[in-house]
Amino acid sequence: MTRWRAGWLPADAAAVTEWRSVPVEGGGHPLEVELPLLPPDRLRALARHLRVQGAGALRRTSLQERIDAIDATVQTLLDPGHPVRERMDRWLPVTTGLPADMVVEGLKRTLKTFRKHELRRFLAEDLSNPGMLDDFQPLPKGGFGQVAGPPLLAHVWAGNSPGLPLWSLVSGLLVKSAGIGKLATGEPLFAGWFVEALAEHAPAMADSLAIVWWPGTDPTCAEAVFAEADRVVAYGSDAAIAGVRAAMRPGQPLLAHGHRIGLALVGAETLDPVRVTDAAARLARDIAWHGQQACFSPQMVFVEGGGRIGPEQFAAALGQALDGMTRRYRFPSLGLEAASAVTRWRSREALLGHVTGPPDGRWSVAFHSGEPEFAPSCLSCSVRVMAVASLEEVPALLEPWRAFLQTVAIAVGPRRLFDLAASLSQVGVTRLAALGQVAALEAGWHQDGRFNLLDLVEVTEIDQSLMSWTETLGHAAD
Amino acid sequence: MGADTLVERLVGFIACPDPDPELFDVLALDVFQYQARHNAPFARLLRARGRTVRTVRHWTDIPPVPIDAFKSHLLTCAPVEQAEAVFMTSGTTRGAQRGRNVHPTLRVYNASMRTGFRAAFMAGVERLRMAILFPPPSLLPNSSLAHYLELARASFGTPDSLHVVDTRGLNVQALLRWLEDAEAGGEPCALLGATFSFVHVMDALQQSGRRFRLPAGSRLFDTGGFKGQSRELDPDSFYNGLSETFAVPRECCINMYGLTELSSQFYDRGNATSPALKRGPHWVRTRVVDPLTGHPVASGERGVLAHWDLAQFNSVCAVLTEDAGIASEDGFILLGRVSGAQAQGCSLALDQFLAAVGGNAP
Repeated sequence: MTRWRAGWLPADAAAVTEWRSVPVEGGGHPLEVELPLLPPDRLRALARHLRVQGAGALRRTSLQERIDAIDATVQTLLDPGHPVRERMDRWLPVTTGLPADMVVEGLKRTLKTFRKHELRRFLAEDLSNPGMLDDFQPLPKGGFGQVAGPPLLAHVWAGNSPGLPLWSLVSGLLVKSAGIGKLATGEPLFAGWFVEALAEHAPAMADSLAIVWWPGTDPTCAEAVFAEADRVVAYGSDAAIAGVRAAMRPGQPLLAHGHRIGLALVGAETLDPVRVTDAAARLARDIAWHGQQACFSPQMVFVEGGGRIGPEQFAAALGQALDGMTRRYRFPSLGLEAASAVTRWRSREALLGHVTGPPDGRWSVAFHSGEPEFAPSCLSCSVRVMAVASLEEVPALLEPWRAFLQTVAIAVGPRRLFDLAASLSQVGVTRLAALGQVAALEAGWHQDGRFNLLDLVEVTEIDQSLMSWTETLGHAAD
Repeated sequence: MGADTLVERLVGFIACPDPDPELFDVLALDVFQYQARHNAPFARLLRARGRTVRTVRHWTDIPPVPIDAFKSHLLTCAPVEQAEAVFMTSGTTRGAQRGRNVHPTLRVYNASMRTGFRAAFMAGVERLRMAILFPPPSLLPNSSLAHYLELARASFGTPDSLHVVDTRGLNVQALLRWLEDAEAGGEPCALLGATFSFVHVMDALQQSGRRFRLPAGSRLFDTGGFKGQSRELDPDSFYNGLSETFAVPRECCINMYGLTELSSQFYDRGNATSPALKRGPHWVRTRVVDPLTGHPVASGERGVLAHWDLAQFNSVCAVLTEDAGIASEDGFILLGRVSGAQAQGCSLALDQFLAAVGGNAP
């Protein structure tokens, strides 16, 4: 039985005395993960310490130093021979329950998103002059301004994507915020291991972070942390986010990323014999990525009529591509809950149209030629393909579901793209990606339309009029 | 075969004290063929599964229909307008689709209920003094449980049996009077109701510091689970609680497992230990299956319960539940619900989506 302790504490914090043991099953190797459990008073003391000591240390670093430290950490972890990276490659497939090659591929891609030149993208995306993070810089409006994140950012992570904590962790560090993060039980190992690697290059930065855990059912722990934190970033279900809000101080800023339902739009431009196989393969990749469990994973596909290949034929091509994709990445067999959900979904779809998929349930494609509608699936690589006369009629039928919308994978020509993008944005879509590229999150990605850095910082400005006035109060000898 | 003939044969088979197992096989195919012919959505599902009347040679070839199909489609051979009863599953919020099980006649359902209940609960006694902890059918006309319990009262209850739940809920005073009379009377009696109702009763009695010693031979009957209507207890705590509150030994506390989407029920032989083995009657076959294939799982493995219930002649006789279980030689162990896999990632799966929109899905 392999046992790993998750999380991270600053060097000068008292040791964790209580651990919650979580057995991880089904990964092929018996694994027990121990989550660091601190009582509310210790959490509060830790948060207070980070807010003063941790943030203080970060404020003594320059932006370049922080960029270099994160880059060095990422480069270290991109070396497959590094012991921490080896650990990740070995055990993240077990914690996530996803195919090992897919997890490693995703890990590499995520890490690359935080290399030096990509970090500059994050900065350029949000700040007209990233130098404002170091000192006062001229503002376009006149006068001078500097920006800084709050002394302490609290993070609440969720889901089973290993790379997810990196987005808010790195954003916090770039804006000089110390951080206290709550691990996701779905994947509790990556975050602590990343900070362990960071400590090799920048111990002071690693010591401005704490990665812990507390039971979601106990509001007193969350309340203790949020009492000391300035802002909170939270991921999770509606219920989880509501729980976070309830434990926060009134008016305390929250940046929330809830669960989402992805979809795909396939235009007639793609539906010719030359392009269709590639399109189907790309879409299969999007669907199969992480077992369709990511916020951007397409759960339904709208296919335009009028191409040389009809929507039903496209559905068949998609089935073949999914078959290949789910063979290539060896997913573990469905548990009883997932198998039951797939059976239920397949049965419903069979009554509405027709469904194809293997007996083991590892993928399913339904097609029905009735009225197209918003049709979430049961996941496990299941999609309903629906025919539409034109893609331009899709935004209207998405409108009632805007709370769930985020990413649309789309295949259309350039002449239609901008108008469709405008219509989709009006119903709440915040990202359009090429088929096959939903998982290729770009540095600076505005998740749910938000800003990685800007949503964390405040500007301190020196009025232009003060600049004029201060000159008049110069040294008497002038 | 017409519906009337089928009904007669089924009622006869149910009543048979020493049934020939081969007759089950014959009747199963008759029911199946009747349904394949007259139940349009079922016929579609058969086609989707590549099964036809010709290729289904044995009841094990009849593909079990997921109970979810009762919500999305009207599964019936006879017109619903002429039904004697339509039992509906409990809806979650307004607009939520409720499953409907249509009974053109209740003769078969009632025969199944009476035969099963008499054997499992009455312990050779003709009639027991009963209190029913559930509303009568007049208040819940589409509830199969309300009908079931009223049928129990009418068929096996003494004339002074009564319901103690009315429009205002549990009538605690009436129940207390009944319990006092029962205790004083010295004759065996029975309390029947929903599991969550028993929790309410136990809580109410504990608050007023009261307990009762029901006469020897008294029995308790619970069904349906907590369903979010009361706090949840583990089986041992629940049955210990019943035993302490009413002085009825755990082996005389019978639990019934039933579904609106079925026409027969399953019983244990008391809950001295939990979970207790459940058994069905001779007109039902139960298998623990892989839901995707419908094939039985390996012995001792956890799977989903599927039932082939011949009493269910009008909708579909083979039903795939959303309950997990383990097969045993004489029956099965019920493990609890299997539906609603928690999404592990950040995408919202269909089950959670439906819960979020309160059933107002397209």
